Amino acid sequence: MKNNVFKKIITSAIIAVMLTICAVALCACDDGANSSDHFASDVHFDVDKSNVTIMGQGSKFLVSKVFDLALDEENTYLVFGKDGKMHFQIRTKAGLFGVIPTLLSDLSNLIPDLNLDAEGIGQMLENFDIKGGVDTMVEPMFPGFKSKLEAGDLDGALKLIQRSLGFYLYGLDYENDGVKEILNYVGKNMKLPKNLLEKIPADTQLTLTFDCDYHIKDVVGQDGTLYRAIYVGSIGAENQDTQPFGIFNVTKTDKDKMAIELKVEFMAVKLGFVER
Amino acid sequence: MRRKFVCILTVVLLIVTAAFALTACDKTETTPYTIVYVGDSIAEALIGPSPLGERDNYGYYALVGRVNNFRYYNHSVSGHKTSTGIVSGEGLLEVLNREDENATLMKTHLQEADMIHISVLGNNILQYNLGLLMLEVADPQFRQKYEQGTTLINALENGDRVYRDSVERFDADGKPVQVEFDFPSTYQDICDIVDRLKELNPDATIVFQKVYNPFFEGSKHLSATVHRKLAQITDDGRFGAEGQPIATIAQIRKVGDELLGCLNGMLDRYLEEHPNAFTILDAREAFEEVVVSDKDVDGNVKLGGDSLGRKLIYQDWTHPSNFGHAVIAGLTQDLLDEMGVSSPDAVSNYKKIKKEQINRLYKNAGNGNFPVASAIADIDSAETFFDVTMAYFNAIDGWTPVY
Repeated sequence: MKNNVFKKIITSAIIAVMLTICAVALCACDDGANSSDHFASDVHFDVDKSNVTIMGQGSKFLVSKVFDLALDEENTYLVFGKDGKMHFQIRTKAGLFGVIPTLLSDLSNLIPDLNLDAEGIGQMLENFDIKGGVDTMVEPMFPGFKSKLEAGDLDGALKLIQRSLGFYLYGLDYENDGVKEILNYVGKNMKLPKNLLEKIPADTQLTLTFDCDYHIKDVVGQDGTLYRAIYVGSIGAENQDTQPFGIFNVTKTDKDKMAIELKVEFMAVKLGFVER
Repeated sequence: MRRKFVCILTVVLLIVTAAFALTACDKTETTPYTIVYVGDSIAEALIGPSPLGERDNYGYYALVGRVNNFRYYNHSVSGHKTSTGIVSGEGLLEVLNREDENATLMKTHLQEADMIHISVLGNNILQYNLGLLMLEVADPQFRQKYEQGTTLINALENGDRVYRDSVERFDADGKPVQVEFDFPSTYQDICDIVDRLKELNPDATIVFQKVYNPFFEGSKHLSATVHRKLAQITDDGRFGAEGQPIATIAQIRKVGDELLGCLNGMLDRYLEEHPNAFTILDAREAFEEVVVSDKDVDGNVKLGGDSLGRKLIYQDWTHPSNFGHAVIAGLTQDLLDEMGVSSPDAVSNYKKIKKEQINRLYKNAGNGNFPVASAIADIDSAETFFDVTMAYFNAIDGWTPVY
């Protein structure tokens, strides 16, 4: 009797061990590419002014100047949410549109050749090819954009872009008479009005936003080097066998903060951010 | 007896378990076929898909990858020439020679690819004065001058900085402005690109895509002045109307073919010198088949704004449209079928993608009047990849998506 019980125990133990080995073998095959990771809590990043290049040119001094003159630094940031959503925004400085005419006038007095006086600016605005740009590029990218613009419905046109790609522009007061006048003019003429800058309310603060899904993915190079990536956009979560267009490369700064970098090759753009 | 039986059973089970544990991590049987795309904006598909948010449903790189359940990566960069880019100074060759790696893993993907699919060459002519290039190949003495090594095409092939008189811009004294052509060494770049890829991955199938002809009635590539200049040249027979001025769109398309023949011909030349080094995907021919399939009542090929051929090209007169991408996807699919690596479910998967788009983008089109059921039925009854393409694009022709 005792022998039978003993044998049953041994047999059960052996079967349990074998099942455990099988389970461990399967789990151990995970190559470390965990594709459904999000940050455990919301993580904010600020623009790294020393790591921004556009068209291959970068200058911390220039980027800092742009921030000083035109951007609301506190409200320009990127956040990865614990819910798997990424939000990025750039906001103009309060009062910017009130001082632009003065700024341009001062610059025009300093460097007359730049033609930044009211007439020069007006000509530049008038000559900006809205029609050509919309017909050739914007309308094909976002069908329906042109008809909304022609109807004076800029918000509706921008929402097409938002639904398609995730970008949106907040802050224009569509009930303001000056803004309505601009939009009606653009809709009828497919050109910018000469007096555009005067018509935009001085207290306008524009915020360009970008919202999408993200997930963290650890990837391994051929030489065994491990890289951490943040995949931006929907591809990847559903399809493990490709990459999205936007990929942040994740590293650490010397102060042990997270640093992320996005490259957009065709514009030779590099955008660096540092954990706040 | 019973004890022996238990012992034998235990040993057998342990052996089976060990074998299972050993093979469970063997990925070679389950690793999907991997295709990596490199090159220019035709492959990157940032311009072409409409709406842009549908890039992964229209871009050929994604269609081919998805319908075959491949692993696929797109490392193409809009604007790239074979070498020396206009924005960053880098072209395809410089990108392939990068040693550093980051989370995009381009080098790793190339090293692990089963197929490397290249679209590059177009910018080697498009980023220069196309009008002067067309005028040069239209010249009845072009072939003779080419043999002498004095044409723009020679400079394009061998790499050189040459100048030509503008036909459109003149200085204050009325003299033509000099137009600079600083060509990379296109043929040598092709050689170096292939060498580099074989160094990275000797086993991958390399596919080089030829450039298609983008000229149709109304094309914005050539100015009115260039058209006038072309019309001053007498067709020597190369362009379909010997003895006539080069004035019709049919002739201009043939001038385009002559120019593209020089460009694409470098791939043929490389293969003659290095047989089987890569496979050519002839997008020019694939597009031409579509173009010539559309004829008017007199049997003339339609080349106007409403022609089937024109629908292959995006509104910018340069990049493939959604339809153009689908034709290139079909061409690639045919190659994969021939190679025996395609999925048996490819056509059925393609149908699923197109039907999903119909339901999502067109269900509410035209204030809900879009004929969803008949569009779905046409897609379902299609038999080949191309049939699905035609069913889908015929169904949505003239309708604006709602998104």
